[in-house]
Amino acid sequence: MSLVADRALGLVTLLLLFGAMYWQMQVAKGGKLPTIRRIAGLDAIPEAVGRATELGRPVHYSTGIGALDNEFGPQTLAGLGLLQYVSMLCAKYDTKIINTVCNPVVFPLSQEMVKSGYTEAGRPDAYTDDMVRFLSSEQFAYAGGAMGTMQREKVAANFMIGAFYAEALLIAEAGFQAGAIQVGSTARMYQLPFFVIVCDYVLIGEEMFAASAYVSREPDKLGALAGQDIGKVVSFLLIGLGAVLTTFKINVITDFLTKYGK
Amino acid sequence: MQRRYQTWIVAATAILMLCEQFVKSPGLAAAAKEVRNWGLIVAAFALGLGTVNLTMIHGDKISKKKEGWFNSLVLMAGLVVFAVTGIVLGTSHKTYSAMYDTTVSPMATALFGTLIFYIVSAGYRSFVIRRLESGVILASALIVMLAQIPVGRMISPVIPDAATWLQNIPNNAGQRGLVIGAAVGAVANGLRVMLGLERNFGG
Repeated sequence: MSLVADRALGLVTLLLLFGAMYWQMQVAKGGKLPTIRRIAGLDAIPEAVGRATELGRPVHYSTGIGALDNEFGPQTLAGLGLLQYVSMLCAKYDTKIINTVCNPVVFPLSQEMVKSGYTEAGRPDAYTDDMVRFLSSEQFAYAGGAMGTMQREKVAANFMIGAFYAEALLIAEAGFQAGAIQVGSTARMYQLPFFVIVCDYVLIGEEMFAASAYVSREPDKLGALAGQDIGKVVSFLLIGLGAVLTTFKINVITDFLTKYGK
Repeated sequence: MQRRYQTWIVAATAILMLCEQFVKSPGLAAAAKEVRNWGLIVAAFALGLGTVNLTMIHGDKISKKKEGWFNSLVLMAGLVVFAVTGIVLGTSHKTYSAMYDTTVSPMATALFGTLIFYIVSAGYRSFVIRRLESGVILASALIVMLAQIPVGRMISPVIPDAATWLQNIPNNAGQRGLVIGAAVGAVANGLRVMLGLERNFGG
């Protein structure tokens, strides 16, 4: 048993990030809660569900077509976290939610999140099996199904939070044509511009990972968020320092990262 | 109690998979491979669950002759025909491949082809100048689009250079900042799941 040498830096970075998060969680639990800036996209969620309630039309939610077992897994998980929150709001306001699913592994998790949202709102009996719909594991078959569902059911709010690919614009445009208020979020750079254009509110990149802490305001989660920010500050300091040193032809940081940072 | 067990199972699995990345050990590699195989089995069962859900929703639509029931009938027929052919002949059989290549594949390609109309429609809306930011987007987009066609260079030789600068400097800088933030966020999200702070997997 031995350590993989060229991944040592990754391990150290992970442990440091873990340490920073744990430290900030303890600070938050001690009563010193970190301040969190306003995120317009998250503030708009109750407003969008409220609008759907006023119009008497359903809400559509998609976690995208990302899997759970690859680099896009955290985005799908973040989408599932917000699905529970949106379901809770829908249950509270007595508005129907339609969650269309592409990835079969995500399907049972989506059912659990919607059920627990309804349970949290004190209305577990209002949950029905047709709220979470598996459409297809094929990308464009799913997109076609989601577009058709939104048009037929005339959704008044559309949430797209997760890992999206080329189907992002198709679904978002169908939402626009149905007259839905739209909140989009992804950390995939190629799809983000489409969301910015089509959606009313967008959670950009890391904002989707902060969503759970933002809506719950639990000290543990807020602390973990502050710890994560320490990681970001260190990353940006290293980038700045690396840029300055490399400009003066001192390659200490780049050589170190090349050797240990695979 | 059930929640606590779920959290422990998730934490143990995550630690095992992380250790496999950083530590060279035949035992760890074998255990991680086993967990991945379990994942494949779970995925197969999940696909079965999805099919049951699909059948329930569309079966109900057909039996009650709800609006669009004929589309549901076509979907169910397709599901049965593909499933029976795949089970009887195998998914690598030429009949199965021909069925896929003549139905699913062209339909997916056609839908992908419609994307251009959606891009134009969305692009038209976003290029309407309502405030300063929209103006900046329109000006940048015009420069980048003009640089892609010969007439751009004819209008001014500066246009291709300006487009390259726009893509390499402001666009790259913005993208990298977002990517780093999202990457740290994703790692932190994974750690929160490991610690049981995020329960996006078990309700």
